[in-house]
Amino acid sequence: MSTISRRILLRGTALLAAVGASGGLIAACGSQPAAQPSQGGAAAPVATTVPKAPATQASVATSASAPTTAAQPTAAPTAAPKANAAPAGEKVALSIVPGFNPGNAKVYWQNMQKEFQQRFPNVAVTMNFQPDWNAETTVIKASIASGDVPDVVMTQDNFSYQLVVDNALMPLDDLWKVDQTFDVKNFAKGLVDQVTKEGKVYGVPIYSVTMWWVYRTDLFQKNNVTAPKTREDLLKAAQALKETGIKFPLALSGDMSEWAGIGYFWNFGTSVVSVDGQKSQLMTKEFQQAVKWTWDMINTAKLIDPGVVTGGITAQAIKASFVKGDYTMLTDGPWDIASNRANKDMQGKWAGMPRALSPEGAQRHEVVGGTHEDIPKGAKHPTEAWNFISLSLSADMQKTIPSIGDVPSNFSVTLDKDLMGKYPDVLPAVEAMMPPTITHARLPYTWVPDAGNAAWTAVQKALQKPSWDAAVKELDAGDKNVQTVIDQGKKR
Amino acid sequence: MSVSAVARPILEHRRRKYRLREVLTGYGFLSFSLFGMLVYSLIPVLFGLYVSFTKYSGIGAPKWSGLHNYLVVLTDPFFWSSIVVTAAYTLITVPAVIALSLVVAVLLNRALPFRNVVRTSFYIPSVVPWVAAVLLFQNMFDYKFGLINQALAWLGIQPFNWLGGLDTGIQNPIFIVVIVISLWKGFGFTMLILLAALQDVPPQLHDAAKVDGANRVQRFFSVTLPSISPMILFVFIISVIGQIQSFTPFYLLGGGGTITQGIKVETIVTYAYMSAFQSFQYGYGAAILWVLFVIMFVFTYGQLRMSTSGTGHEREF
Repeated sequence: MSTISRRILLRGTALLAAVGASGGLIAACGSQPAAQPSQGGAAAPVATTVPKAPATQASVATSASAPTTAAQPTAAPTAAPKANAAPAGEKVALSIVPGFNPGNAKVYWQNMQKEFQQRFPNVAVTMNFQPDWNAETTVIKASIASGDVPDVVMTQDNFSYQLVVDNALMPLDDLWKVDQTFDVKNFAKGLVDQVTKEGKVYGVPIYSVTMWWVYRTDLFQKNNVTAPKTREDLLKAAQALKETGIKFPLALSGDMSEWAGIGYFWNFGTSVVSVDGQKSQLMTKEFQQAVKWTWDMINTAKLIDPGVVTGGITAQAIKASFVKGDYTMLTDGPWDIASNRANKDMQGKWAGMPRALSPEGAQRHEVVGGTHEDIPKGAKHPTEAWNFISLSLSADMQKTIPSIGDVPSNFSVTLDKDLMGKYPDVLPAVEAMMPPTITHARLPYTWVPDAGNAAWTAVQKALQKPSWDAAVKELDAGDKNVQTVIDQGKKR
Repeated sequence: MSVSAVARPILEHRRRKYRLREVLTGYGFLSFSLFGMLVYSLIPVLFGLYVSFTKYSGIGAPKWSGLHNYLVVLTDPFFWSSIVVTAAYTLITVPAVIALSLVVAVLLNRALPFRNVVRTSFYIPSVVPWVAAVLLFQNMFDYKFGLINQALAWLGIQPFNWLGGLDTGIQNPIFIVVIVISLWKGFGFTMLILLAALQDVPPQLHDAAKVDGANRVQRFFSVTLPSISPMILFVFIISVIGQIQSFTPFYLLGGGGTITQGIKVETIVTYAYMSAFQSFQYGYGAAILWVLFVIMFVFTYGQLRMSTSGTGHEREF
């Protein structure tokens, strides 16, 4: 009987290892299978209308830069999108990467999935939930880079803009043209403009929101103070509350970087970066007026706790002080509605209100942020994907959103007084974005978040200065820093 | 013709064949590792190099931009301020960690009661994950509830805003907090290596020095230190490389944990990360890291050349 020598054994093992490694290498280098064309009839023409030239930032910015009043909504569409895509017997697999306020929104998406599958039994929907926005962004980018894209993605406004610049999304106009249930005028124009390029719209907001004040209704009632509507009223209300022994009636949220900080100043009608994205605005008269108002509230009237702008007290600690009753008003976002509802210490003691109107009492400016629903270029089933988007934006589905403590993006739903009357904690968040408010999209330049951070840091430093002259010097230094951020961002 | 003359070429041929087989067998066994290195290291590194010469947002094809990214990096004031932070952090922590480790290693190299327990407790911080260490110190340095400010208050000193300063760079107190964490976490590992080196010093050298009349301090500087200097050089180089790449504490404490905030104390790596993954400028982020690679390469090579020339320790590296 022949025996296997040690050498042969070693050679054989080495050969097997080499073959395995080579096979693995070949497999790893294999290309992705080409995307299958959609079963839906409308898919092909949509794919061919996607512009091939890469977008410049300026071309997108043109459409997004102008401030706009909220669009006048149309009557609520009641009909659901019709099943019209796959031939009978063929099951379409639709993959979705849902977003918008992960956590409290999961229930909404699960209901949405059930509803969609009832209406479109030939479509199997897979929801790929992600734990947070960072993870979602990574998944979306990785899928687009690999060429194996989901059919619907939900993206935060800045990221949506980036995807439009990168020519990674399908235009949606042609899809909604054949959809009688959808009217783009029902959605925040600022957010629609942000993803509009060369007349084509690449996303529709499933979620739109702006900052607001939350206030302690129990303390207001106890001290006979009414919720203010103008900035002058706000000052009077805060002074009245201070006279009752509350040391600092007002607080700014501790997390005021970037969009919250920018939003705070837009509320005064001024921006951090000029709308063309080129210049810092920190030394403009309007910006300084806005900072001066806040500086006076901290240093002269002593109505705002100076600790909240030092960065020394965290956003959580500030919120905890509000819950405790140390502060009676706090800049916040409606994304906290669900957690406020769940907090036993807050029940019946709080309400939201739109931020105060400008001193003249005529208009309110707000930056609107949110989440878009988009169809990535290369999606296998754009028609079904649109049907999913359309249903999620329809009045039928949107009217369920206030129940989970979020804000519907469809204005036709938010105008429904009977419905919104049931959710008084959500209503002011809607009012904050409706006329006469002038809404602004976040400026669509990659350097704006960094410029916003630099600007807010300069403002924080200025607000801590004991004299206004010293504060202006700090703003001047900040202005140069913000301009450096802009110039550097433009160079990249 | 002798038999040996005939047999020699045959033997030579067999020997070569055998060597070839051995080499092929060796490479065969290595192939798994080589494959892993190729796919997970070499290809990404080369792709990173390519990306650094392009404008690339992670979507679509990278667009060739030549040296543009490198030229912008070198004129970027934020890049240079990140260099200052990284250099200051490295220059402070590396000597401090080595000095502290050396002192503790010398102390623990004696016959002490519960010596192993003490050694282990000094080493434990090294195995604590960075994220856990940062959270621990974040609580300790908290403005309102932190142990440090409570201790200061007990001493009648005003609480200090350790984690919320508005300045950027090394002026922000977060920089000091990160240094403290780094010392706490870093010195255990260095101490262990130096302790091993100390135990390798031949006792005969000390005996000879004693016979020559050297006192304890003289023996330390003339016998112990030269004997462990290759190991000090080793820990110095790996510490420098590690500190230059520092990311987690600056990212977590400096505000990078939230998507909308900038990082107050930016190191080269956090700046590259923010550029690539927050601003979607992968080409720019890759260029920053290649500049970092060049800096580290020059530093390490220079350090090795300077430290090994004439010391007789060239073979150790």
